[in-house]
Parts: sequence; structure tokens; C-alpha cells
Amino acid sequence: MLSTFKLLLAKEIKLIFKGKDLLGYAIGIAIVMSIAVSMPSARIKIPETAGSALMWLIILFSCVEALQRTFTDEMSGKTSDLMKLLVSPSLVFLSKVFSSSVFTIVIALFTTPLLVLWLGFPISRLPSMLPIAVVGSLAIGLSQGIVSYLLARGSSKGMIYPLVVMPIVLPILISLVILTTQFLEASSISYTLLVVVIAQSLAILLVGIAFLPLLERAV
Amino acid sequence: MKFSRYTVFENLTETVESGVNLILGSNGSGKTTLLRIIAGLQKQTSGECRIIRDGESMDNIGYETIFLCSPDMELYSELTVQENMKLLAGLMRCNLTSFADWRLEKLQKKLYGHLSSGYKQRVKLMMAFLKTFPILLLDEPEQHLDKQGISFVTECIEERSDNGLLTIVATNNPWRNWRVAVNL
Repeated sequence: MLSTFKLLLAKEIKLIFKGKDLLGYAIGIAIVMSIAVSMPSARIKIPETAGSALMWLIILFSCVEALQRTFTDEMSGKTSDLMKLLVSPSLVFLSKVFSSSVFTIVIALFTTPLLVLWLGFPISRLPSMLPIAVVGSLAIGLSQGIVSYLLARGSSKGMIYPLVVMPIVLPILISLVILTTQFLEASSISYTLLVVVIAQSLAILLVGIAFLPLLERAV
Repeated sequence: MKFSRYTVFENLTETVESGVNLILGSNGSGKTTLLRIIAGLQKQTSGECRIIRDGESMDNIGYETIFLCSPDMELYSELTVQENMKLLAGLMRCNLTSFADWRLEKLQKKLYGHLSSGYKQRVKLMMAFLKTFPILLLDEPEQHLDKQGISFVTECIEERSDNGLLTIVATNNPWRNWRVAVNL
């Protein structure tokens, strides 16, 4: 089972990073959004909370495309039947969620320094920001998997995305904003909150896996 | 089997045994749908499809038992032929066979998405014969193939038959002297 998962994960990562248009598109969104939010506020001191909220929103929206694409490509590319014949749907789901999380981490590692620079926060805070960017991206990636799966199967696709994703991602986003603000302010860090973020995303992932066979049968 | 109000086929009762069995039918007669039902990819509107192995009914068919190769299925177009085959051989837990058998040795490094329809069909058939599945379902395997390709796939199907394995082929026209199991 582990070797099958490794194969699927390698395939997904290869597909994400081979799709140069997707990587370029995501990085492009990240840059454009970073500039868009930083330019008008060039002479205004951005509060730490607003800065960290912007950072996580940019990471979230930069990665929405990748997360949804992993599932919709399998459907539109007519490869989903092949996978269903050979491996358990749970393994396919997990490989897509983890590969998307890796992609999210890459985008976060690219976006975070840009935002710290452009929003005028001290560069000295960057080393402590990067670990939280990695953990937070992983949490966002893991928690969005089931939503992307559901949307890929439905006919509404992206139209109802905000409606479905917000109740699931919002608690994680709020926790990440609080944590990032603490890092930016160099105040005491709530490690309990960090554990809560990880627990929340893992819980969403586990619920997704538990309901997956039911959802597969329903379609 | 119905799609909305349209009945594709009904009152279909047939038992197939090892060897080669044909499902004959014109376009839209439900050949692909029937194969998908047998493969477990689609649920029938009513009735049942049972697979009996060594006298015992198999309720949960394992991933090792049955495989379908159909024009509706594709491989990953962003991966090369070799990458696709390595992935599939890994998932099927079997060794990679020779690309030369399917005249694909020069195309190994090419992206699957860049291949012609004929070569795509060869790759898909190579995938179907990578592992010796007890039950193999082939949907119009002759599609897009040249004479050499058809003759090679016929050889592969007959080799399976000689080994006592079940192959169900859905096609428009009778092929060889194989048994016509279902005429839709």
C-alpha cells in the first residue's frame, strides 16, 4: 500500500510541476496579488494582523487552481476510470491532497518573503515566518482536498467554491492569521493554536477519507 | 440498462466462460456500457452481474482480477509513454514488457498526448497486456490499428485463451471464429 501511495504521489507531483502553465499561473497570481496589495499601501503602515491576513489569502487563492485542477484533470483527462480499476480511491485522493500541499508549500515559500519585503515588515522576522508558512500551507492543502474532490465531481465546479470552502477553511485561516501576527509582532507564540491548526486540518482530511467510499458510490 | 428514459438494453441473460467471448453490436447498442458494468465502473439499472471464480461468487472483485481497456479511457497526456508504463506496471505490481513488441520502442520518450490515435491505441493495448489479468475486457481493440497491429493483438488475445483466461471483446463486426456471447 505504501509503495502504491509513493507511486501515485510521485505521479501527481510530476504532473503538477510538468504543467508549466499551472506553476507559472500560480506564481503569476502570487506576484500580481502581492504587488496589488502592497502598491497602494506603499506609504501606509500596514498593521501586522492585516499583513498576515493578506498573506494567507494570497496563499489560499494562489493554490485554489492547483487543488481543483488535480481532481478535475483526472475527470476531464479520462484517466479516472483507469485509476479506479487499479487502486483504491482513498489512495488516489490522498496522493492528490499531499501533492497539492507540496505545491502550496512551494508557492508559500515564494510568496512569504515577497510579502514581508513589500509590506515593509522587518526582514529579521522572515526566518521565523517560513516554518509557519510551511505548516500553514500544509494545513490549507490538507483541508481543501475534500472540497476540491466534491467540486470536481459536481457540475457547478468553481462557482460554489467560496460557499463550500469558507466554512471549512475559515477556522484554519483565522488561526493562521493570529499565529502569523504573533510572529510579526515578535510576541509570545501560542503553540496550542499551532496544534489546533494541525488537528483541524487532519480532522478534515480524515472525515474526507471516511466519507470517500460513500461519495464514490453516490455518483 | 437505462439512461434517463432511454433503454440501452434489457432482458439480457448470458453466461460467459474462459476463452474469448465477443459482444457484438452497432454504435450506441450498449457494448461499452455492458463492459463498464462487468468491470464495476458503472451500476446497472436493474438485475445483477456476477463473477464466479472456482465455483465461488466474488462479491468484492479485487484490483488484481479484472481490467478494462476502452477508447473512453486515457493515459496521462503530460507524461511520456515510458513514464505512463512504469507507473502502470508499478500499480499493477508487474514487470514492464518490451516496447518493441508493440512497435513503441522509438516513442518511449514522447509525451503520450503527442501520439497519433493509432499509437495511443497501441500504448493502451500494451497496458492491457502488461499483466495477465484473469478477466480482460477489451472495447473495440482493433480501433485505429493497422493490419500488423490487429494481427498482434489477435495473437495476444488467443494466447490468453490458450492459457484458459477469460477475454471479452466488444466489437462491431464478428472477429475470427470467436464465440459470440452477446449480440446487442
